[in-house]
Amino acid sequence: MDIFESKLKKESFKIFYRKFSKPFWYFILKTCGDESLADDVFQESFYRFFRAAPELSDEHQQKSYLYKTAVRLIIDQKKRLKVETKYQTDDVTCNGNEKKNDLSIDMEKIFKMLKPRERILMWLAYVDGQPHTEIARITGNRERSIRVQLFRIRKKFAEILKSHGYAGEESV
Amino acid sequence: MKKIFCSWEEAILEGFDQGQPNPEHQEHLKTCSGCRDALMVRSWMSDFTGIPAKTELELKKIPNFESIWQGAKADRKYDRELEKKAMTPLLIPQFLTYIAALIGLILLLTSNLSQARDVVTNKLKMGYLFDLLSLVGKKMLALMPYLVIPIIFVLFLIALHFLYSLFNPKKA
Repeated sequence: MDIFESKLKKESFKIFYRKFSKPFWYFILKTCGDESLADDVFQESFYRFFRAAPELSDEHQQKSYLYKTAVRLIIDQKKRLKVETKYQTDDVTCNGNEKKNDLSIDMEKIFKMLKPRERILMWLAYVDGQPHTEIARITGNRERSIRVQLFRIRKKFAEILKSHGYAGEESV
Repeated sequence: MKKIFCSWEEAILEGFDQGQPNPEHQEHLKTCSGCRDALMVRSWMSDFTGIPAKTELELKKIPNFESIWQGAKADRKYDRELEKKAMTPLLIPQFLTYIAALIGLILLLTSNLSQARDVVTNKLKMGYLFDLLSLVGKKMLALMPYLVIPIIFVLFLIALHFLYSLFNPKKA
């Protein structure tokens, strides 16, 4: 039976959408760093998710599937846009952020110093609190490799934070 | 091999998340730069996704479920049309293969098989296989009057399968 004809499936997807759409959009926004791109990736991820209608047993697996789709889209989009954005200045990339305060913009800029893939890993590990096994599934890497990658990214990010005057001791 | 992961890290980050400072952890942090970095990054990420982020998320208008659902449905329809277009050229060789296989089978069953026997026995050294097939073929030929109906039925099924594939291409 076609998934789009099933009222039951539609209802279950509706519940899933209500529960995860906002945090999911926020994850995309922060990892791709551009609101219009985030909107596109968000929409396309859900389109793909509904069209594929994965027969997954629980919400957790469905969420993982959705994030995996988004991660692929973000990385693909970033690769495509890399050439276009190469010569753009920071002012251009901050379009659409006028409503935010200075601190928020500074933090955005600092986070954008990481590569999209690094931002994804950082977000999944430190904001979503996903275990390494889940991150490995979402990003298509090995669990051991995730551990090492996260260690390196964290080290790199700590250096960036220190160079921007963020003192670690204050937060202890 | 150099050990890069500190065993204290998980407990320290957990303590931070729970907002419970532990004197033992504080002592460890004085000597372990890895844990200090981990804590600094976690603390920064926590600020980054804190109050300004929450406001931003509340302000954001996510598309409603129905529009996403309908968009996915329209995309699915378009996908199917594309699949059908892509599959049509593949179905013609498939059909020709069926016909060729059928003609081959009929020729094999009705010929005296001497030439084929020579090839299989002398060149391929698989005479035993040929003998077996030949025996089965002879038996079938002997029973030919009774096999007409099943053969026609099989041909009908092949034609049906072909028509089905033509109008309902498999998922890509």
